Amino acid sequence: MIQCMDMKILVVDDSLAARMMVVSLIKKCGYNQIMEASNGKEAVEQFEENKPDFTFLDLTMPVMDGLEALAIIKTSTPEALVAVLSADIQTKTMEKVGQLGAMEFIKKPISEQRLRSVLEQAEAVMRDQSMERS
Amino acid sequence: MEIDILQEALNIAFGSASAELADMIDIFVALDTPKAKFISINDIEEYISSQTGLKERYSIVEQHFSGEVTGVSLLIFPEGAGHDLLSYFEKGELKYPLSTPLEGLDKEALLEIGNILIGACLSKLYDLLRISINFYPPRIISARNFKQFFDGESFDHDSNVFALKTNFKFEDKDLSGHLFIVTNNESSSTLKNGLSNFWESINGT
Repeated sequence: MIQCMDMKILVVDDSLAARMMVVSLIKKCGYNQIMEASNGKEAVEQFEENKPDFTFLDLTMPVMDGLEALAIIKTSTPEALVAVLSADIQTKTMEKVGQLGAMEFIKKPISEQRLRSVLEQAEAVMRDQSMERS
Repeated sequence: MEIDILQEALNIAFGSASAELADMIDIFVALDTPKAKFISINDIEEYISSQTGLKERYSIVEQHFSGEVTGVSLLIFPEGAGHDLLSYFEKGELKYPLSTPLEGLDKEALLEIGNILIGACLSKLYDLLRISINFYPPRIISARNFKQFFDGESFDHDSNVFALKTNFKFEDKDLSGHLFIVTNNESSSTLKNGLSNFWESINGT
């Protein structure tokens, strides 16, 4: 049985302010295993090395953007749970994100209520995945 | 006529962006009705300077975009705005140490708020025109020389550009500034097609 407060969460954003805000909200929700990355390349590396249970992923980042990182992560780990958190709220962007398999598209800035809801949703998915495996 | 249609699109898009921002926690931004203008690239510096006031120091968030149209957004804040905007990021137990202007977290706050504001405005506008763009990461420009914003890669010398200008105000902070969106000459035909599509859609043709 997964201890969901042990959920490992990766926060990916080139903005330090955005990362700090999201990390602060995650800690408020009771989760303490938090990793950070500042671009898509670091996100992919962190994902491969640490296998986070859930990822918050920005899109507009240097080195490698979020769409490319999302595509790589979902290709290597189709069951990966990723929520995109972005200021780019074009309809086509949201559609692309959905096509690439993100669990959610969240417009920046995220509220505590929304973050809590997304993480609860992730916990439910992880419980279902765990039951399917056992 | 195209300017009139664009004005209508801008009214709708920026109104929608304002509403979008108001839905987000704690960000109540009032956006003025934007104005559109075709202008020579050689005159853009004078135009922006005259609209913002040369005597005032300012902090600028610059964000380039490309795709079906190419251009740059400039979000111009009064100096020290980063300090004022930090409170949007003070969630829960998180406290930020004081820092000097444009250093550390002031700069980060300015960048992120700029990213959100520009993202909302451009996304809504180009969605309306059915034009797709890609955003580049924003950066802070604190120099006074505007010419550096319009580099040779995106903007040809002696060409015309399309400049949009609006004023914004963070109502809970008594903080106001200016947003400029400048697209290059090569984007003109795409913009015209977008305006045509928009006009047809609102006229039911």
